[in-house]
Amino acid sequence: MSTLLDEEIKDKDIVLLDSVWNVIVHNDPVNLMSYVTMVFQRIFGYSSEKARKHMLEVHHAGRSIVWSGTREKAEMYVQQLHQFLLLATLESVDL
Amino acid sequence: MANLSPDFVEILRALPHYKEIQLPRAQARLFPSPTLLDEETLQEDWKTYVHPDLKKHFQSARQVVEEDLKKMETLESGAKLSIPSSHLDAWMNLLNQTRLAIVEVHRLTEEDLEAPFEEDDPSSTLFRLHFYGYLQQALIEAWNSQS
Repeated sequence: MSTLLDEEIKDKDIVLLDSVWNVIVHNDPVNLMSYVTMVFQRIFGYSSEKARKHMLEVHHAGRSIVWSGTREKAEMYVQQLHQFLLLATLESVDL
Repeated sequence: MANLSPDFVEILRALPHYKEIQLPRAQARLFPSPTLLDEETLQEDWKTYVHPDLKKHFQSARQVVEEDLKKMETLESGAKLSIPSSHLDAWMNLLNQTRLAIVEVHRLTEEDLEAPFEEDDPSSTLFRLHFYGYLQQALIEAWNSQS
C-alpha cells in the first residue's frame, strides 16, 4: 500500500529520468573533418582523441550523440553547433 | 598569405559577396531546425529566439572578413593578405557559410565534390569551392597551432 510520500517520490523520479536530452550531430558532405573535430574540442572541451572519435562516427554512421544531459544545456550546445554551421539536433531520451 | 595572383585576389574579394548565401536553399541550410521530429513549439521558439542571434553572428563574420580584405596590400610580387589570429573564427565561419551555400544552391552531390575539377579555371564554381576549402583547412591548422 503506497503512501502519499511514496507517490511524490515516484513522480519526482519520473521527472528526473525524463529530463535527459541527447545532442546529435549529423553528417554533411561539406564540413571538413578537421573542422568538425576542432568544433567538438572547442564546444565540449573534448580531447582531440574523443573529438576525432565522434567526428568519425558522424562520418561513417551518419550521426553521433555527442552529449547528453539537461534540455537547457542541450539547447545551448545545439545553438553553438549551429553557429559553427554543423547540422545538429536535440532529442529527448526515451527511458 | 603573400604573393597572391590577381585571380586569387579576385576569388578572395568575392568571398563576402556571394549572393548564393541569401537564396532560400542556402538559408535553409545555414539556419537548420534543431529537431528532426515534428516539434512545432521547439521549431517556432528556435526561429524566434535563436535565428536572430545566428544571423547577427554570420553577418559579423562577413563584416570582419570584408574589413580584412580592404587592407590587402598590393605588392610587386603579388598581393598580401594578413589575417589576425583573433579573426580566424570569422574567416572560418564565412568560408563555411559560402561553401555550404554554393553546394546547396548548385545542388552539388558528394560525387561532384570528389570529382576532378578544372584547375586552370579560377572562375569555375568547383575551383572556388575547393579553394575556399583549402583556405579553411589552413586556418584550422593555424588555430590548432595556437591552441
